Order: sequence, then C-alpha cells, then structure tokens
Amino acid sequence: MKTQLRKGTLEMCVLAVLARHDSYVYEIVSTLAQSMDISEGTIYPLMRRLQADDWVSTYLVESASGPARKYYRLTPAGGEALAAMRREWGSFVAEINAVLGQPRPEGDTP
Amino acid sequence: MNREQYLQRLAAALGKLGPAERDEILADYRAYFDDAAADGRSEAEVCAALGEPERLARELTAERKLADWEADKSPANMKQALGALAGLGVLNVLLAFPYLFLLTWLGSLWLGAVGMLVAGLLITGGWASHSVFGWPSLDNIVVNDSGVGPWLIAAGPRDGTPPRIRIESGQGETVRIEPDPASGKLVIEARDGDEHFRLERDASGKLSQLSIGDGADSIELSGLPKASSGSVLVFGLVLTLLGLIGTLLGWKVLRWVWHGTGRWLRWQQRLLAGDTAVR
Repeated sequence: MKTQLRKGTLEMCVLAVLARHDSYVYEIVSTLAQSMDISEGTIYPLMRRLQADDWVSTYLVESASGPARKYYRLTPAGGEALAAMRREWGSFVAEINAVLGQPRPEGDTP
Repeated sequence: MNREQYLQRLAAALGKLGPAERDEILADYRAYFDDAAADGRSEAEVCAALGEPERLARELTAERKLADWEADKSPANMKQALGALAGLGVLNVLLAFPYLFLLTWLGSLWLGAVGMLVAGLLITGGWASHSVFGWPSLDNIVVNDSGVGPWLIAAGPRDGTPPRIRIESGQGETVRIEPDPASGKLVIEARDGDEHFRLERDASGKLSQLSIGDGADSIELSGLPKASSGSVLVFGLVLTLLGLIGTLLGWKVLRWVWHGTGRWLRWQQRLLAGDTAVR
C-alpha cells in the first residue's frame, strides 16, 4: 500500500527537495532514498520531463575535481506547481483522515 | 556489468535520439557514476541500481518523441511518438483498432463535407458565370425532384458525337457511354452488380430518362423538368453552406480527437513512469 501511495507523488517530492535548495541528481536521489525506495535510473527521465514542462532549469557549476556538475533549480512555474500539489496532497490526507477517524455508525455491528 | 559497458549499452539503445541529446544524457549518467564512486559505491552496484539501460533508453526516447509531438502536432511526429510508446508497452492494440476505425470514419465524413463545399462553390460559380457571361448554358441541366439520386443532373454539350466508352471489370462492374448514331440517343450508365445509374439523352439533347436502382428498388423517371436559373443558385448556395459547416465542424472534431490522442498518450506514459520510478 505504501508503494502504491508513493507512486505519482515522486514529482512532488523532487520539486520539494529542490524547493529547499538547488541540487544535482545524485544528491536528489540520495535525499529521496532516505525515505523511499526509488529506482535511481528513472530519475533522469523525470528530470527531463520537469525541464520540458519548465518546472526546473539547469546550470553548470565548475568543480575542482572532474567535469562541471549540472545543478537543477526550481523555476517560478515549478514553485507554483509544487504549491498546487501540496494543496491537493493536504486535502487528500485530510479527507482520508476524516474517513479513518469516523466512528462506526450505530447499529452497524451484526 | 561495469560502468563502461553500461554506458555503451545505453548509447547503443539511444540511437533514435539526436547526437547532441544522446551525448547530454550520457554525460548525465557518467556524472552519476562519478558521484556514486565518490560516495563509495562500486560500479556494479550502481549499474544494478540504475536498472536495465535499454529500458531507460526507451523511456528517454518516448519522453523526447512525446515532447516533439507536443511542440509540432504533425502526423510524422505522431508516428514517432506511437512507435516510441509501443516500445514501452503503453499502447494497447485492442484499443488501437476502434480508435483507428473512428479516425478513418471521421476523416471520410470530413472529406465528404469538403467535396460538398467544392461542388457547391462550382455550382454557385457556374450560376454566377451564367448570369454574367451566359456561359455555361443551363439548358442541359434538369431537376430530379424524386428524392432519389442526384438532385441536379447536367447532360453535357449538345453538339459533336461523344466518344463510345465501355469499361468492364469482369466482376459485374460496368461504366459505359454509348451513342446510337441511328436514333441520335446517348446512354450513360454505371452498373455494379445489381446497382445501377442510367441516363438517356434523346437526339435533341434533352435528358429523356433517368433510372436508378439497387436491385431491390428501382426508379425510372422520364420528362424531367429543366432546372431554372434560381433553382441552380439555391442548390449551389445550400450545398456551399452545408459543405462549409461540415468542413469547419469536421475539422474541429478531427483536431480535437487528434490532440486528445496525444494527451491520452502523455497521460499513459506518466502513469507508467510513476509505476517504474518507485519500487
């Protein structure tokens, strides 16, 4: 059930990680991997999709060792998308909590 | 599998992308291997964590082709996107058939409307030309008010002997135009098995008989009234109007279905991406 719930929220999680600070893919994956079991390879297709939607943009940062590293940054449009997803998630959780917290109607027990 | 083998397999599987994009993707994964190595992970471990390179390549290719289609909704791009998504297993063949049928059906309806528009414009233009220049003559146009077959029939030029034509398919389909020099009559007939359409013109050039039948029913008309100039105009305008409405409406519907298909494919791809991204 946990896996089912996590599916479809991956985009939101990636955007949320980037909302904290700009990051590169390996760092994003490491952050997410602390709390969910993700397939590392598919993060790249996801990042390209987010880029195509103009939710994230990239820039290169020169590093002392090895080639320049590609950083991802949340765009204003990405920030709005994240805010919308957060609202949706919040109302979804509230609805489910309301159902779970509801006492059984009287006379329902056989 | 080590890092170089992994990247080679990925490069080979990304053949359908442009070289610049392929290099960019390979550089991304190379950087990932570097970061993972700095994190103390072995190449074999990272290869396993990244998953099958061919699978990744299929997802990256589908992503590119769908983005291309979204940028330019041409049939060529649709074909590419369909091909890429078929590789992902997104397309359901059972769903594809009714869809293709619907698209073909809508397409032929639309072509019919375009044909009506063209015919209407030709008739209206012919009427305008007749009113201004006296050409073409409306003498040989008769009205068929029986409700069966074409409403207006043009008999063609009166002078000169038309050529004798007879085409037979050998399966009961015949088209013939046969003048009879003795009586001066001309017969124009199209026949397909039991169905036929037959026109007879007498020596004076007047349409003398019309016969339409489909085996079960048949109708014979003689002494068809000549079309007045007004009725030709009304017919032309009505045809133009109906053709125009059908063409515009049909075009809108076709575009809607076409774009809807793209959105549906994108939606399917996203569902699948969500499925594979989280274990």
